[in-house]
Amino acid sequence: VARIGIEENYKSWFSHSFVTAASAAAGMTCVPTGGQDFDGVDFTIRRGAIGIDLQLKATDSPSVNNDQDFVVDLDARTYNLFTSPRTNPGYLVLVTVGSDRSHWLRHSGGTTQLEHEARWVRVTGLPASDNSTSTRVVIPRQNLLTARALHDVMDLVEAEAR
Amino acid sequence: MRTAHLGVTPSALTAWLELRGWRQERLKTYASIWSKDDVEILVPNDTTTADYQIRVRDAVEDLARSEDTSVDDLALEISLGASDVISWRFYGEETRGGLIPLGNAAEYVANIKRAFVAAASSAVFRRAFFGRRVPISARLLAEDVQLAPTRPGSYIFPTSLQLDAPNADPNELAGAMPGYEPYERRTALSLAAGVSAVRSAIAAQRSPTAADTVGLASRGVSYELCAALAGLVGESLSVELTFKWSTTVDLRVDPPRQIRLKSSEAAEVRSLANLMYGSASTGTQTFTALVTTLHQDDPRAANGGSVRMRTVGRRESQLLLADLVEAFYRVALRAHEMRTPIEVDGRLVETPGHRSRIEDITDIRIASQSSIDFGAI
Repeated sequence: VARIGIEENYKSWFSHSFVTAASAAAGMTCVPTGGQDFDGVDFTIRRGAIGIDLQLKATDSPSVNNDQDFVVDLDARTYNLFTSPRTNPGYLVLVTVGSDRSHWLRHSGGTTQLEHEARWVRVTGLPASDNSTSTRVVIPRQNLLTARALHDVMDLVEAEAR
Repeated sequence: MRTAHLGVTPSALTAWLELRGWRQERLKTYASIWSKDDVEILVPNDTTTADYQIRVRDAVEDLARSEDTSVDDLALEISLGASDVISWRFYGEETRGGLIPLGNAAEYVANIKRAFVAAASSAVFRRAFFGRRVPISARLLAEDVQLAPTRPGSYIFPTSLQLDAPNADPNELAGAMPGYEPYERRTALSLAAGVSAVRSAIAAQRSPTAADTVGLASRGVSYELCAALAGLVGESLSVELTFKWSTTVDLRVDPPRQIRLKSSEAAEVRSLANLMYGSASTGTQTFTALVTTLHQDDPRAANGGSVRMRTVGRRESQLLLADLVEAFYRVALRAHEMRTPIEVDGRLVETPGHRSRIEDITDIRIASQSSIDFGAI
């Protein structure tokens, strides 16, 4: 059991690098909550005073629906916290990693690659759920977490703040 | 878990920001955005939102970085509002190992309270020995001193003197007067001055004698203060006082921020307490007062006159008499006409059955300058 736990930690830690890399490349502040589940939030990304809260999930065996979009069963507590009234909208980020840890980080020709990808979906604004265990959240395949995507998200949040 | 921010409320946070020149730029649904010097922070205003605690924590941590201070200190300052915070840190053999006997902790707190009674007494009268003359106002003030949560990992007792204490008698006139300092502020200054003077006295080349008691009393040292400090500094226990002065009330002096009394100085503190015990010395001090009545036997003679005055304050306010030479009398008369307080440098004299008087007056002026002399620290 302990070894399985450690493997899950590796995925979790590796998933952080996708978020910090994208936010740094976007010129945004990325604040971790200190390795603890702080009201469902793993990271806050900020552009000035505007920000979004992230819950991260990492998996090497993602589930997809008929449209080939990713699906995550988000625990009821986090889902309710993210769909309740809040200042910073809550986003779910799914990081898909390879099954072979030795391939996660690759270097070639002065480039470092992270395997595989991070995707995002906004949970705040989704309908409330009375499911007591978890609620299925769909993450569109095209929602790659990139510096550009983060700016688009922040532009939206900024517009909402006006 | 970072929990320093838990006592910070939206109203306390916005009040703190306003006082320090931050401006509210715009409102969001559940928050507002404030700015100063190109720095923006988000201040949550709805405690029911799911991310309220995270937003407060972020705001306090951002501000601590901006103000170059610790998150713990800043959170305490914001949550306490307009307060002077005096932290008492105990260190030495007695506190090693992470545990202290409950009896010792209770004794620390009792002696901290005694020190506040002594400082509040000296804020009213500069006296070497109070005995039964401790003003009721000083006892009441010490009862109201707030003990903030102790800091983890050490024996720090943060105490707070609220400068706009809600239970103080409202006296808007006093609050608007030039030279007015809340009693709580004067008590904190008196404590800082008194402990500084104790520190200087025991560091001096020669031991203080009875001739020094007037000078010591003038700086806020009393038997009661020394006795309280003697109870806080032991053979294996040192104490460090850190003063965090609120900026909501202007400081007219530059008081100390930190004073230490080491365990090796315990004997000297006790000696000083013995020296002050029973002394009838009263110190010179500055009284800030409103002139209520003036009397001259013959105005044409220009021989001065007598005045009655009431010291500016709330529950510690008192009626005093003084006979003034002509020059001082004219200042008192002008202040009376302007309805503004005067500051009188002198010495209090009490005679049983008579009103308290100020004697040995060296200066009188329209209130504006500080009443506390810190001397060498």
